Amino acid sequence: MIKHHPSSTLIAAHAAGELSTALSSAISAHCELCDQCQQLRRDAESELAFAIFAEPATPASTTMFAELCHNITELPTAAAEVAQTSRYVCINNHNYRLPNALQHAKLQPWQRFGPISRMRFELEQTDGVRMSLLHMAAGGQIPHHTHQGQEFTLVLAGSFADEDGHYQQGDIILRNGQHQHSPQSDEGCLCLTVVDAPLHFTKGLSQVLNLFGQSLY
Amino acid sequence: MSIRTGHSMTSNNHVEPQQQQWLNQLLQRVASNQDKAAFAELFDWFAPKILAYGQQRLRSHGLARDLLQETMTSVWTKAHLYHADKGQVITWVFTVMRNQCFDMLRKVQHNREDCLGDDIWPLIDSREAVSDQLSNNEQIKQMMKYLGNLSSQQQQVVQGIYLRELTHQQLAQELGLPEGTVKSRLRLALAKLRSFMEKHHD
Ligand SMILES: [Zn+2]
Repeated sequence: MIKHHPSSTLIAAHAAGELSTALSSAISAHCELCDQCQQLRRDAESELAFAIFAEPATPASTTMFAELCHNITELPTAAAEVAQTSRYVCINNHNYRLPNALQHAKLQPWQRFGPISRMRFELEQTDGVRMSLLHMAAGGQIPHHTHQGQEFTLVLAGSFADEDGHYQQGDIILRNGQHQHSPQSDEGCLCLTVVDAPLHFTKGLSQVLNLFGQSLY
Repeated sequence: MSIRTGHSMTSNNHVEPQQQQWLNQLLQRVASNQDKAAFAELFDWFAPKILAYGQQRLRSHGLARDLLQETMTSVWTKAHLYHADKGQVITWVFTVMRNQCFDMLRKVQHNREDCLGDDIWPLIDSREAVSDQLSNNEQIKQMMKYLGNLSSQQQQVVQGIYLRELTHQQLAQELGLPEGTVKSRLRLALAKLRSFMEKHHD
């Protein structure tokens, strides 16, 4: 049962196509797992469609349009079969199917940091937004840290817990600079993370991690 | 959810139910009979609105026109993916247009050539559609065998995109053609290849 959802504002912006690729992908991956938010997105799309297409029509049938329209109908319709792909990532001998939103996004190889492995997506640079797959092996933990920007975490498989709660497949969690947390996972988990600034470690020796903490998410 | 807010009814965003039904019938005719007259009516109804949306989001006449071309091409070629029970025609056309516009913006603003819009907002319900990627690759290989049957112009674009792996933009520059022409030439070439294959399979 999914307990943590994106805000309705975020879903509306997602439906309008106004979010970064990274955030759009994360919200999309949540909707794929969450019927409730999928319905909210459909409602938002319908509202947008009515807003855009209810404008009174000024006739467009100039010669240019007639030609464009004609050329399109010369195209055979059979050419447009939609291929549904299934893309997997493999970590610790386990294959995970990636959400629809991530079927073609470019991925870098896994990088390991002890029990944590990270795969970063190669996306356009929009205000330092980064998207990664983060895998925590069973019993893994990320040292205490805060976030200098916002961090969205979507659980794709498995579960993890932090000081505030326990999160399962489909849950999407937003963290910001005020939050200090140290997630850990007993059974292991695969998450999709979107951060717009590097994370910052706060406790003891783990502060040393700040030196290369830039690279974790 | 039983309380109706009446939100969308009180605004000006109103498309008459008869009009919705009319649009629905037109799209069904396109989907089941490739009805060109029905498509022309849809085109006339949507074109100025798509242009206005494109102009606003992409801030360019040329790009708005590209958006119109790409969106209505998808409406023509993917009409069979529309299901009336999933929502209104205008909502479906909106999603097609938004996905296309999303990729165009990424291209204009960040120089990205990859298309992610239809992955982020799939036009089909993934729980319904199953297709084998392997057999798809196999089909492409076979298509290449029939390449010689195409006109030299068509071979040029297929080779440029699939063998030399140029982007549409690179190939258009090389050939001194508008990108839209390269795309439509490619689509026609692929369709022709497919028909060759089907003949040889039957
Ligand atoms: Zn949800």
